[in-house]
Amino acid sequence: MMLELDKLSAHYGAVEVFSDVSLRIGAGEKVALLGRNGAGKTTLVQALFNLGPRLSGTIRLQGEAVQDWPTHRIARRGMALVPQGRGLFPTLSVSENLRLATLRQPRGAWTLEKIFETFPRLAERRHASSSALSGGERQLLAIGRALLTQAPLLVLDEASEGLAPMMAEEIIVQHVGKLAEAGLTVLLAEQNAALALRLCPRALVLAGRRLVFDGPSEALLADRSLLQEHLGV
Amino acid sequence: MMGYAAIQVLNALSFSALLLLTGLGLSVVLSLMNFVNLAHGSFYLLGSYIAVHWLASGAPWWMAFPVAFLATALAGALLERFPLRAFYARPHLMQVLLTYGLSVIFADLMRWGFGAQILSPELPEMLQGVVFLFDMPFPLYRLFIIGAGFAMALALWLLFDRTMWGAVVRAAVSDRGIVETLGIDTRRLFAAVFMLSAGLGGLSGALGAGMLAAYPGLDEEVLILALITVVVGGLGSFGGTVLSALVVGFALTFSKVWFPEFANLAAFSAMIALLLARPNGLVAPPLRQL
Ligand SMILES: Nc1ncnc2c1ncn2[C@@H]1O[C@H](COP(=O)(O)OP(=O)(O)OP(=O)(O)O)[C@@H](O)[C@H]1O
Ligand SMILES: [Mg+2]
Repeated sequence: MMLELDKLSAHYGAVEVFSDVSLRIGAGEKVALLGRNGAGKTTLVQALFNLGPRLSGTIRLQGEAVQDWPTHRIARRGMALVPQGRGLFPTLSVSENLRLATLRQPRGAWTLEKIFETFPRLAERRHASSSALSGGERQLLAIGRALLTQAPLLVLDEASEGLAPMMAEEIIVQHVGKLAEAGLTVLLAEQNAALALRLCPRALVLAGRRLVFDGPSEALLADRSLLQEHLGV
Repeated sequence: MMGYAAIQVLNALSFSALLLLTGLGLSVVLSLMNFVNLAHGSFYLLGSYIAVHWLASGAPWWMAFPVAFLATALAGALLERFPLRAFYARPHLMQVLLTYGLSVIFADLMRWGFGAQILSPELPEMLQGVVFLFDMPFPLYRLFIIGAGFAMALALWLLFDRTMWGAVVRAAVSDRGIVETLGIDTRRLFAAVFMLSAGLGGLSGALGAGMLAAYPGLDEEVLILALITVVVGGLGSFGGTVLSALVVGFALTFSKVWFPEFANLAAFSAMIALLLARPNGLVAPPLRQL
């Protein structure tokens, strides 16, 4: 198993964001994590990296219980993050943003050259400050940076946010789709359910502090009342 | 008259060079770790005492500076492990109380270890004596402070701006959590930066001993000036710290020339006025930078 959550709960102070979330994601799966605004998707993503909320329960990453580990050790164990808002370093150039990710794991399938080949638009702007990029370029940079950690599991939080529909489609369905075909495991936290479900054959739905759905995307799409109630689609 | 002015400009520059090195150490810890270290002046004074004793020992004189740097960096490393690290996430007021308390303890320890008299280092022969500018004598050693101080500041700028290690530090200033998700251990990074900061304090003390001497109480004097330098410069901006080290150095030097009785009053009033006019400092970074 790539990732296993067992009875995971997260709290901010006395406020419980979600509880009792259990799920398993196998190697090579593409899974969408859906939920309305404020449902707790970002909190769950941060919990995976031990960033932010207080946790109980267990998180297993490639078989190892990591919930008490510091973030950098969890990352080295094999999980990369494309955070909500991209999390780029504005005082660094494009290539510095990328090279930062290679410091821990200088060798692997992904190299700086390969990122520039895969995303030629970044190559053109390698010396620019990351704050000078367009929305789409910023997202590609965040993805490239995550890939360079060589982690087999990629977690993307709100990857379509702030992008024009065409650009969101290109990045999520085409680029991330291609990465998944090459074997990457993908967990995609998204408000835009329609888009996420075009990529992912499996869906999770967070609502009312619970995981209310875990199953094939087709089954979710067929369940009109669930879509209406928890996703507002 | 010309000569007198030139001499005072050089005096101001040598003072600015010391403020710059001390201030940069304080500034990097403040912007990266959001930590206020009021014990920074203790590193300066420790560096001064180390230099005084090293230069009296007969060992190669130039080694006084790397030795002071390394010894204070080591002291900083120990202090960072316990107790400072536990206070990074605490409110500034707690950090202030802790580090002020530590600085009082260190002041006592240094008085006990090095005595209460004013100690001036015995300068190496090649740095003794004066040079003449417009027929006015100027101590050669102060030219050395200017050269070494600004060269060191340039080296630091290269370190932070041009190396990958510097890029990691700049990244951690903007988002520590994201840096961690790239597999980088930021706790070790913070410890290294704190060591560098302490070492810079000690190095400026070692350089400054030949100009300001070393005596109990100098730690507090230097600390307040370094704090002013950092605040006036605009918290955590490298260029701002350079500019404000010059402003503070010149303000203090020239107010001593023009209003000897009211030197501090004049200099500090000018700084308060400056902060009222530019609340974010001389160079307000759009984002927190180094
Ligand atoms: N640092 C925090 N402290 C306290 N409460 C928080 C914190 N961060 C988030 N919350 C709360 O936790 C809940 C879940 O927020 P979260 O950001 O995880 O939702 P989300 O599903 O990612 O939403 P969005 O679609 O807006 O990204 C919200 O009610 C939010 O107000
Ligand atoms: Mg979110």
